[in-house]
Amino acid sequence: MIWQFEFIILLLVVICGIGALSVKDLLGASILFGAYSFMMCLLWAIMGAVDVAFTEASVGAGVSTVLFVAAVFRTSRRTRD
Amino acid sequence: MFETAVIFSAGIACLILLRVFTPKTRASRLYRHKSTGVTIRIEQGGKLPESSRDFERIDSSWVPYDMIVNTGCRLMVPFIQLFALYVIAHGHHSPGGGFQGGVIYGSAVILYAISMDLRSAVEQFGEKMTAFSQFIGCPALCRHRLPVPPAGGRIPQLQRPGGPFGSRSDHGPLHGILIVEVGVGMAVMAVMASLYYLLSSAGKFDEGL
Repeated sequence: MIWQFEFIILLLVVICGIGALSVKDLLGASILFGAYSFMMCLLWAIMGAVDVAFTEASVGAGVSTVLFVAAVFRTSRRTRD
Repeated sequence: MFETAVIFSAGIACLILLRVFTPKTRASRLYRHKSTGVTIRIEQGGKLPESSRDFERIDSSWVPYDMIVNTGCRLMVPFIQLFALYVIAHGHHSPGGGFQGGVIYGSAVILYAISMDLRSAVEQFGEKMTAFSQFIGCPALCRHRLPVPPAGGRIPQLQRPGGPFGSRSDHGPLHGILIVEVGVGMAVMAVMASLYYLLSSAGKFDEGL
């Protein structure tokens, strides 16, 4: 694999992780977490673990983002810390 | 296969923690006249147009109605379900399997619930059905004690000939694995759907996201 691609994806993973931790809006944090898990899925597919990448794409980027959004919908959207 | 035990206990724990049984007295409800789009509110004790064809019930916190979203998601849902069945059925010799296919099937149910309504999704795939699927799918764990298939007459086994830790080889009793995968897929699909129902409706199964 071209190393520039891997570097860009790794950089995006780090940026999405730090953004999901630092953002104040919980809905935005859950969306950033979905982006993080999709980038992680790409990274695993690059490394050759296709089964793990499949699981990450379906569970991490698909269902868990929806569950986070549903939980945010039922609780508050702003964090206090 | 222990992912089924984990996901099963997660579903049961979420059910115990979140499910609330509301008393019979209800708050006011909103109804929409289908052809004109006029929304009416019926207070507590009023007569409900449940059997009327002209009115449909809408959520009090999520009123927007979009025909494009409805129709597009209704067209997409069967194909997502077909893809999930493909992933389950081809899990032996390609990436995928019962867990991933079950998650994709559950996300199809969730997409239906988001695009239409929580109540219409519960009407299709209700609470009793989710519990039943979980309890049917979970005994797939006891893989050596599966019932003997009537035709073959031998107990399906998950372990294949080959190296340790389930290293893949092309010869093996694939039908037993397929039964286990279908069971895992059913359990995971039911757990995903019931997790979404419980989280989005705060345990009431009435009005949701």
